[in-house]
Amino acid sequence: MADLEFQDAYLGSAARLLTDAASEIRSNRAMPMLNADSYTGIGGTVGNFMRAAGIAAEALSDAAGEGAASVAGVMSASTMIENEISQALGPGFTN
Amino acid sequence: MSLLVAAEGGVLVGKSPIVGTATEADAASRTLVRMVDEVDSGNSNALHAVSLLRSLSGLSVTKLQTQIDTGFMQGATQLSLDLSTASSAFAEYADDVNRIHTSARETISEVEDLLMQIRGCARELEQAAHTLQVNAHVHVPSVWNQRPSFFPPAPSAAAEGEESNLVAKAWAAGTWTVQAMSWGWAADRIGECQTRWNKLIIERKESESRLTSKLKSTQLGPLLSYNGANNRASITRHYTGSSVHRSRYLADPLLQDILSGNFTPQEVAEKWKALGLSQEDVEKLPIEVLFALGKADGVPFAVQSIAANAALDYAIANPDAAIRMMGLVGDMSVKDFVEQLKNIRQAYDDAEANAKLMSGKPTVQLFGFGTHDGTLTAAISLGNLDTASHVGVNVSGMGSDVNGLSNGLGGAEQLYLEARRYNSQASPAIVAWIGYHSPAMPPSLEVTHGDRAASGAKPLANFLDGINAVRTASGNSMQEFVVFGHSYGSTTAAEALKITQTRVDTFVTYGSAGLEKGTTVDQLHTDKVYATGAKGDNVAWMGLSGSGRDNPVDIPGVEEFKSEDRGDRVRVTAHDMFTEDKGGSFFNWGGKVGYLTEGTSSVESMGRILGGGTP
Repeated sequence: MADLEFQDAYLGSAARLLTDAASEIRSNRAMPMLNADSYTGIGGTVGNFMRAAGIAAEALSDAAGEGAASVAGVMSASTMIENEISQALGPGFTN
Repeated sequence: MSLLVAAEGGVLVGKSPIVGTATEADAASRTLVRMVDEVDSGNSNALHAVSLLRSLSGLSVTKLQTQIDTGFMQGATQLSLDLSTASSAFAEYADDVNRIHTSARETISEVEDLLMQIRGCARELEQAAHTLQVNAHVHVPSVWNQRPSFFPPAPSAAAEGEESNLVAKAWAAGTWTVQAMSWGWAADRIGECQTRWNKLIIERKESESRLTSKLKSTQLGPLLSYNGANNRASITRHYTGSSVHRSRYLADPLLQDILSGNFTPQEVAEKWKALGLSQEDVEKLPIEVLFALGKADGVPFAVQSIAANAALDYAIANPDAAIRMMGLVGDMSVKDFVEQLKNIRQAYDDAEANAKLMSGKPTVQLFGFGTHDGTLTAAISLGNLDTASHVGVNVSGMGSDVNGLSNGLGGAEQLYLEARRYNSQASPAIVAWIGYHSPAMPPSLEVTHGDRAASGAKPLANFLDGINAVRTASGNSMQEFVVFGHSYGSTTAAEALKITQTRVDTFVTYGSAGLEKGTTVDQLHTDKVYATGAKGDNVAWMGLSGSGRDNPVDIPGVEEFKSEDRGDRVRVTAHDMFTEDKGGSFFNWGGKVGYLTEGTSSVESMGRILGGGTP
């Protein structure tokens, strides 16, 4: 029992760290240069890059959130930490 | 003086290098720096989490470490590098833009001052000419870079004879020389400004080129090469790996049913509706699922198009993996596979660009991206298949494959335009369908056999049922549903219409290679059948003779329409579905006119049928 509590404490901390990672990266900011004027018509490429950068960050945030959910999933008492993840990242990560 | 402006068509020629703002580029740089900080901080958290997990033992914990490492940390490290590169590139670009804009504004201002100076000189010279009694229009230039002579013009004969105002005349001559020199000096300075201006234009172009080169040098760069930033699936997969980033919908029994291939298009349409995935949900699905969804009959075509585009882009970027995933190893070389993929992409991109210029600006959709009997398949719709009022599916014939999608879309465009010409209220969608392994070209005798038609009938029937299922599930009925079959495509389409659950409004054959012997109109699930075969069609006979098939124009109940001269419409003189340049080809001996070529009587008739009318 003590071993399980010890393991759960570590897993809980790891899950919280990953939840924080997901929250930090997921910032719904407005991206600049999405439709920038240019001399040679590079606006499309530049806008696509900025959009893609946002998508990549969002994907990493999702991956961190899913990592947190996976860690929580192996805890013997996971309900509390799953609720925390759900509150931090929204539904979907703990299903 | 006719010269009044410095830039944009005036003295400083060429497009002004003052475009956009440095502030915007600077904001992009700062945004990316913040993102780098966030990703690095998240990565640091993940590293800490992994170190905690290392303190524990067990297979599940080891798997978690791997998941976090490969699914997050490696991607985060790479993204941090990529965003840092981009941030520096934007910062340099912002500096360049700022410097170029400042210098360009100074140049414009300097030229305006110099032009003002020249205009002042011109006024003084005109006054001097008046005093010297010479024609100012002759001696004072009308444009800035035609410098006046430093030597004052000789006074007129009348002025020479006058003794009066000698001082004024001497003063005017002196003024002339001073103003002419001032004009020349200003003109020299303007010339220097022009050189500087041209240099700034070059620098601006080079700066933009440097920025895009650096952006493309990141790992996001190649992912942008196809389909721009809509390539969410590829971007997600690249930075997180497919093993980790899995949508919660994957476990949903409805999605599993849809992907199983065990349900009819009608059942799939109902299950999809119940599943309720958003576009963003779809984009996040793993690439393997997107491959399946891109050809899932019964799934809305907007969704199929998102999935098929992502699958196509993935296949172009990862051909070795994709050819295995699609089960085409041994059927074609990787080189041919890539060439065909790129031709599909090109056809789609060209259609999208072209659609923006067309009346009604039709939506372009890609679906049916998959395989049939060892060949690649794809279909492209000109028009929104989920909502179009008048829907046509054009089935291609002998020797057709995805390399010919562009040509098929050329014909689709003409059908679309003719349908709108006939019925301006119609919002048509016409599909170029390359969904089966068509018979090979002569000298192969495949076209005389029915095997390819029988095999192709199944995916075509499912596709037609899929259209009806999607429209029924969404409550968005069609006013007209027409199947067109060209050459052997009519053979295949007829076999499909014998097994569809859906009844279409009209079936049209053109340049038919014949319908299987004994086919009756009653067997075909359609209300009307039309057929045409041009006198100038020099190939259709190949499919009819020796195959034992029936010419559709001879089948009772089939109504024939002509493909010959009709007033201002030209006749069809070749077997081709569509010819644009009227250049020669195997099918087009002598470079003649195809059935869907612009201006033919046949395309007008078929457009009228698609628009809800008669030939």
